Amino acid sequence: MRQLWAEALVAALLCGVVLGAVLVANSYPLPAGVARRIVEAAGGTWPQGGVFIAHGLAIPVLIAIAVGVSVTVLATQMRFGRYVFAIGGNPETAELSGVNTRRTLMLVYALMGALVGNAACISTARLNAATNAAGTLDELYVIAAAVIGGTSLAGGVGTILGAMLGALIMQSLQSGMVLLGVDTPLQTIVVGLVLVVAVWLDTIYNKRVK
Amino acid sequence: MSEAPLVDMCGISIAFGGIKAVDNVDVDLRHGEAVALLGHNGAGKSTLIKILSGAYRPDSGEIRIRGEKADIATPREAKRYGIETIYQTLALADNVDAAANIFLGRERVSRLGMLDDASMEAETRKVMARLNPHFRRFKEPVRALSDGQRQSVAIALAIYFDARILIMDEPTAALGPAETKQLGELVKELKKQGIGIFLISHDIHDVFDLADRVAVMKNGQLVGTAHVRDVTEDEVLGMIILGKCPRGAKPGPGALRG
Ligand SMILES: Nc1ncnc2c1ncn2[C@@H]1O[C@H](COP(=O)(O)OP(=O)(O)OP(=O)(O)O)[C@@H](O)[C@H]1O
Ligand SMILES: [Mg+2]
Repeated sequence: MRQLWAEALVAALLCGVVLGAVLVANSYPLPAGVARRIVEAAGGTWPQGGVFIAHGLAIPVLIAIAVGVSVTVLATQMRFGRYVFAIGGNPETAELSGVNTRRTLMLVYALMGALVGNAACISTARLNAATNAAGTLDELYVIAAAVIGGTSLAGGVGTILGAMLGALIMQSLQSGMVLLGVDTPLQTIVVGLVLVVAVWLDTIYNKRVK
Repeated sequence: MSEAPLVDMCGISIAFGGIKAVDNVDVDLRHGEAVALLGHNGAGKSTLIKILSGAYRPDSGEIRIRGEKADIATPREAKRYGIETIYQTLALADNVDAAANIFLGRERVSRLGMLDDASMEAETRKVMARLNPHFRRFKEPVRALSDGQRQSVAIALAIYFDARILIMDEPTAALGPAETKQLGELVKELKKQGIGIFLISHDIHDVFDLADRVAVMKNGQLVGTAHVRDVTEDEVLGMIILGKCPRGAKPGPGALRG
């Protein structure tokens, strides 16, 4: 247990971080085109110098945070998460200990399906278009993100926060390549290389703990 | 012989491919009794007890618990009958700590369904203090522990949940002398509480010290069973190696004839 003052300090710092993030997000204006449409939709006229409408937090970010927090609780504080880690560590043991491994694995896939559905909604809303090829090859990014974030391909090791940071890195990499004007095939090659290196480091790490 | 035996395994057989790992074996276990299963490597001891602990289903045969036919299809159902097992392979999940292993499948949760790790760790400390008082590494994944420490965790896992029937497959293989002695005391104490114990060990001295009866297997068949007071250590070795059933023992189908 931490001291009370330490708890208070941590709580105050976390509040500060949240407030700071909201402040920063709100000090950016919405792009002129979007702001203009909002003003006109509200029945106003677009003034000469433009209008400052705060950008605010993107809703997908809020959804990501909510999902991250709830899945972290599920993984670390609930029976289900304990079973998932135990099965990842040693499926035979989990079975012998009386864990219903088939049911747990089914639930894992169901959870993944639900999360993918969530992601598909966001991506469709962002593109404002639904195609049957949406998300193709995203699994490459997802696996790379998880492995970079410390998830072991051998199973039983990893955190949600790590995977989310990994996703941030992968997305930064991709956006950076787009801004630099790297060709699409080359982008895929770079992502593949990153994945290969991450897996290689993971196997080295696994050998050392064994 | 009025009271029904705690466990009665009748005509148990199981084959893996062409190998008859266990072939028509009968063994029983009474309240407060320790029965040692002996035999050479590959004789079928672990396979037999895995049938009782729900890891394998027998091809034929019947298990009765307190006289009633028991259908044990999964480890979960075996635990419902109060059967707890220390596996030879120390079935532990290497990536989580001792408490998570001991309570795996039977976690304590708060009212909101959250894991109560603090209370599980406190209980783990209590039970480990009886088995291995020097053990301190409660926060680390069990992969970081020594083989003996892992064995202590596996034993703690089996004795924590008030077993009625305890199966120990080579529980002392990795233990030091002090821990082995501690386990011996524990076995005697558990027997006094009326718990039945199946003990598998290759150490004949340990067996004669702890067990009331021995059951010897050879190539999947039962050579015979005997009370330890009716046979000598040499005679038991003869049963294990040659399959020769001495006068004091009750011969099984695997006994050498002639
Ligand atoms: N899952 C399995 N698949 C195939 N064969 C098996 C399996 N488990 C055991 N066997 C075979 O069954 C026989 C009995 O094995 P078992 O593990 O019961 O021996 P044991 O008496 O416990 O030996 P040890 O003293 O070495 O522990 C062996 O020939 C083994 O090869
Ligand atoms: Mg064995």
